[in-house]
Amino acid sequence: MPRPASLTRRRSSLPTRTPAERLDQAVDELLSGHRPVVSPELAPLVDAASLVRSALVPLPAGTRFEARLASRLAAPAGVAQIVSAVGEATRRELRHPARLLITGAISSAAVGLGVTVIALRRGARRHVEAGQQPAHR
Amino acid sequence: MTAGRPNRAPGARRAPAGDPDLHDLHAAQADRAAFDVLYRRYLDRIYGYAFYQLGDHHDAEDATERTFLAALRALPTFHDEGATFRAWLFRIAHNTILNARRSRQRGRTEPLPADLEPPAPNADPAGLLDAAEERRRVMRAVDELPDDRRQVVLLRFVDGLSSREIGQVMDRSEGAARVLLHRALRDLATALER
Repeated sequence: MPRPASLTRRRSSLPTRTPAERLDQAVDELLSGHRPVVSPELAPLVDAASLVRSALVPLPAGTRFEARLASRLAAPAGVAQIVSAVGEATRRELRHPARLLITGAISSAAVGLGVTVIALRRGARRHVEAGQQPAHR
Repeated sequence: MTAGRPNRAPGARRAPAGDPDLHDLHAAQADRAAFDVLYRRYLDRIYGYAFYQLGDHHDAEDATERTFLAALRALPTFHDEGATFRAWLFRIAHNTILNARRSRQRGRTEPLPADLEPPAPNADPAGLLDAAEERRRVMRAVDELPDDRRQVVLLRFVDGLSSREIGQVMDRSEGAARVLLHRALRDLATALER
């Protein structure tokens, strides 16, 4: 059934977009270097957007960093994966210095204990061997 | 990419045809060395995003490096993402930065840097002071936004991503990204009015 003409007209005159959509379009225009024309309710928000745009300057990465990363990306896949895995493990461990210290202390203690046990056993074996040898005449 | 794959898996989506990086992306997928073009194109933007999020040059470099290495590794799987290349790349950066912040076990405590550009020669000192003060004020206001709103502002204004792409980066709908931007700018307008 066809709609009454008056209803159609009233519908088409209603704003079809939400404030968020209109603001989004205004920001698009702002970012492309134009000053958007907006309704008074959105004007302070566009002003804030303009201030933010001027304040948040693009930041270039350092040239040395750029070159270093470029060479890592260009490295063959296998080498890159190994370097990445080693780097990842190092970074992960360095993030927890306490864990690193505890691991180091336990490892040192284990090595020390191992060396002591070996020395004692060898000493004991020598002692036994010396006891079994016939006495010098 | 999907161009040469007539038998795509069900549900796998093509990268949008309007993706300006599509050509270079195909080249990089065919030859790893061609990734350099995309790397040079996006290095500063990823770095800037990381720096504004983490507030530290070393952390930003670390996050940037991880992002590009992860992107290079995952490049062959890109056709399943259904997003533009840059939205996909920023999503990797976004996750990497979240992990970096989590691993520090604290939020960003460093204020956003206010003096990033060297002053122009022969500039009016009083004008420079005013501009620096104004920038500091805006940075502070951005810094005080809730996490998701600050991210939307950074992605929109530093990196120039569309709301659709921001939605893809942050795993939200385009409408939700627009609403976040609206709320963020409303908060900023209130803060900057004071």
